[in-house]
Amino acid sequence: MAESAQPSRKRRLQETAVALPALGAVFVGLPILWGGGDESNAVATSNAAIYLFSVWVGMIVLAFALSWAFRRPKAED
Amino acid sequence: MLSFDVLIVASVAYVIVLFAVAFLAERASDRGGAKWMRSPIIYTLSLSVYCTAWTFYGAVGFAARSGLEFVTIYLGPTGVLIGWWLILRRLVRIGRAERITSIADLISSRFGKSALLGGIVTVLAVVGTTPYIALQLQSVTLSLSVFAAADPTAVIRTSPNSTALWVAVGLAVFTIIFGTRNLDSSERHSGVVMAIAVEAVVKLLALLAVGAFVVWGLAGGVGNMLAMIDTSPIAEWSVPNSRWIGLTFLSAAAFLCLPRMFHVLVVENSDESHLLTASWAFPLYLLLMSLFVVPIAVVGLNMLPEGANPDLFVLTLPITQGQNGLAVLAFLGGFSSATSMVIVAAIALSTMVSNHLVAPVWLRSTGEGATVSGDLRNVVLMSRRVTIAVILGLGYLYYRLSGGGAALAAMGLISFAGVAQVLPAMLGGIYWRGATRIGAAAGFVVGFTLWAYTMLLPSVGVGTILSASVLEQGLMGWHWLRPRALFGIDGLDPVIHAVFWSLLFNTGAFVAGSILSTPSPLERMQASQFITALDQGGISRSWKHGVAEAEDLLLMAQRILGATEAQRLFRAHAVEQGKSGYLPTPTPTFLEGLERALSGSVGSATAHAMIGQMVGGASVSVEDLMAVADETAQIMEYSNRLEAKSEELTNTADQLRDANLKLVQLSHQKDAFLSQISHELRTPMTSIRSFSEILQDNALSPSDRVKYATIISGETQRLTRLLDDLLDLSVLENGQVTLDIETGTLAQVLDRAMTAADFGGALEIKRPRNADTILLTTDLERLGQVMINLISNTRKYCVNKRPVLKIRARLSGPDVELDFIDNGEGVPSTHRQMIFEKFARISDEAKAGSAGLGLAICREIMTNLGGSIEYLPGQGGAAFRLRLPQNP
Repeated sequence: MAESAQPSRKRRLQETAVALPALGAVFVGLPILWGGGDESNAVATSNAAIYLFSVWVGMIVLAFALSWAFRRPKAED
Repeated sequence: MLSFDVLIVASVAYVIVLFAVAFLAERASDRGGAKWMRSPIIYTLSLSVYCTAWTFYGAVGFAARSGLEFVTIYLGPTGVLIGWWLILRRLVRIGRAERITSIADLISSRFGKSALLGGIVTVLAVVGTTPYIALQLQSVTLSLSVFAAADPTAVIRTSPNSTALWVAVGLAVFTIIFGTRNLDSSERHSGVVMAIAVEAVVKLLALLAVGAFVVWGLAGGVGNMLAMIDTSPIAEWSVPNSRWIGLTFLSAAAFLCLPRMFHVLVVENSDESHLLTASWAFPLYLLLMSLFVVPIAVVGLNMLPEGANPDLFVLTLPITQGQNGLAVLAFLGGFSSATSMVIVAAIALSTMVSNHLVAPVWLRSTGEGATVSGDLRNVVLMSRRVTIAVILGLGYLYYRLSGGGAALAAMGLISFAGVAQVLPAMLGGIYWRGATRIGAAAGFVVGFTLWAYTMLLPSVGVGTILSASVLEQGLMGWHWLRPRALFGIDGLDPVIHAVFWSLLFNTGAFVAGSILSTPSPLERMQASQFITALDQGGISRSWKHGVAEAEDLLLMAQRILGATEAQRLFRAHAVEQGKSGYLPTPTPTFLEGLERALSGSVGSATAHAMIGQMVGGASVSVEDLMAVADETAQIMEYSNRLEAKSEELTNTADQLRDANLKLVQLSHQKDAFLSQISHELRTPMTSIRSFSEILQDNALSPSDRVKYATIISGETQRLTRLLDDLLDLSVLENGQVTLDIETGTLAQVLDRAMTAADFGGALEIKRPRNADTILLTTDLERLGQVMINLISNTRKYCVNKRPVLKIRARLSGPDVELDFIDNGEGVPSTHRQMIFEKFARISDEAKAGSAGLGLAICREIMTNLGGSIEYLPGQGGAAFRLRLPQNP
């Protein structure tokens, strides 16, 4: 990687680190909209569980990728 | 059927293994080996103290009651770790830079090393944690009782109370042995951390094993499991509402603020980069912990008899299915969850209590300071050991008093909400420079009070502290003060209600208090250090180069850090300063380093106070310096103001004196003028009156009559002249004269003047040769009048027998200079100042023939012509110089 690209890469990583929890919050908060404003509406627990755990796994994968990216420049030094 | 004895043996064996692990880890750490013990994985596993027995057993119960909502408790911490860059990174960096020992220390240190705030947070933490410890004891007792119920022979030998007591004692012993071995918290507790990591693995494996057994052993695979969920009582998940968001937020807040979490997250963190691993590994751990919660709940609800406690499904499912090994493993998982929480909480709380409650009180009570008193190291260690015992004792007491009932189960969220009250001050402290101690204290008090009123007190049972009427009617009958419907807002979930109001008012008081109060200099300094923690190595809070003897400091440091550690520190500093031996010069750098090292053991506020006492008056803290500077600035400003005022007064006095002088002079002049003028008028009047009386005598000869009449006429003329002069002068002085400007040569003016002033007598006048060439544009008449005056003065006063008046003329720039110089005696220097004044005569009156207004009139004319007349000394005789512009 070119030397001049390093600061920009670092900045992008940091911005990703800030964006990630926001993304997670959006996905976790999404079920609120499922009822379409009617609280008496209900969804199947199994489907909801699959959704939530998928989001969860997705976030873990993204966090893992990010931490891997954070470590990489160190390894190159 | 599982024998109860087997379970006891397994438990004891497990405890022995834990002791061994902790012991071996400590030994390995002492030898400096075992780098893997400081690995990110161990760090991640240590974070699992978050998962207590409440989550191990309780999550299933939670799911059995309200479906998927239980994941909020795990989603909050997941969010915190995935967003590690925002908060955790900053906390860890600050914790390392400032040698923070606990969350109370963080708050105290941030807000000017305030002992008060440290104390408040400590009390808050103890109050919030004690019921939680009771909950752990209850879970162990409860799980044991499940086994006891399964083995009828065991009932006789055990009772829940004694079980709880033995567990509490065992935990106290373990914590004291491995939690208070050393004092410097930066050395961290390798043994404890390793034991917790092992327990983390055990509880995860236990849950996974039970889960796998349930899904594949009982339900018959994932597909069947999902189908079973869809037909279970919790098949429908009512769409989440405020509780969904509120609980997620609450668990995230608690994850950051719980004393035990802060301890493993920040204090035990040995490397910031561990966060990178934990950011995904701990969410993964939490995911695995919650993966089988719903299946276990569903299968439990399906297979176990109605009325079975869902909180114990993890245990009861394997037992009823005859899976004894699995049941023991599940028990050990729950046991691990309970013990690891209690151990870390006890360590964190004991650190807080000894640093923020015991040490300040002890330091104050001894008064003399760290030098003369006994071994502080022992005092601190002792206080920690006692605190651990007391905290566990309190937990046990709480368990006994609460009766171990269902009320305790609600304690988890109540405890979360209690410690979450620290959140506003903590986040404000690390992000907001303007946050102040007053604001933080106000926030704590308000938030804590509201939390106690809306959540803690109602929970301990109606009628114990809060009466039923208060709960129904509000405090003192005020309806809007009902603990569960503040401000008349009904229908909110009690937990959300309490969290919302307490945190809202907490934050409000914190912000308002911070805005309205002024931080002390030390606070400001700490604030900038906390907020810029990520940008730089840190600014120093300078200790002035003091006269504290290095030896005294070493004595004190040995008491706190231990001899070896203290000597190593001193030696390092001495070497750094280029000295041999163990006594470095107490430079500010050294004192600062020492303070940091001490604060790792006794907290920053105490360390600061101790160094302050040691270095004493000779050292000046920044706060002192600032205070002095403030005072000095005030004094200087005051003195400047005084000086300015005094100068102003002096000026005014000078002006007054001048004005007074002028007034006095004017008054004198007026008096003199009046007396002169009456004198001048009286003399001719007297002779006129005398001679006119003589004329009335008829016996006079005609010749005499003519003679006297002539005298009278002469005196009258003199009077008239005097009055003319006076009038003329008056007009000139008042500037009312109208000038008749015309152009002519100097010669013309001179001619006229010489003719007018020629009363006969032998005065030789030497005219200037260039008189014809000098053109003048001015009031020639008035100029002539001046010349006549000067010429006739020479006639009158020049004492030379052959008087000569020499007139010189020359151009000087735009001006013409005319000198009138006679060959008389001149004017004595003493009189030169006054000859131009009215009635000024230097020779005797008789000779004068005039009132002495001549030169005064000359001066006024010249002034009116835009020129001047002055006496020209050093010319042999009287000499006057006229100067006037050639053109006006």
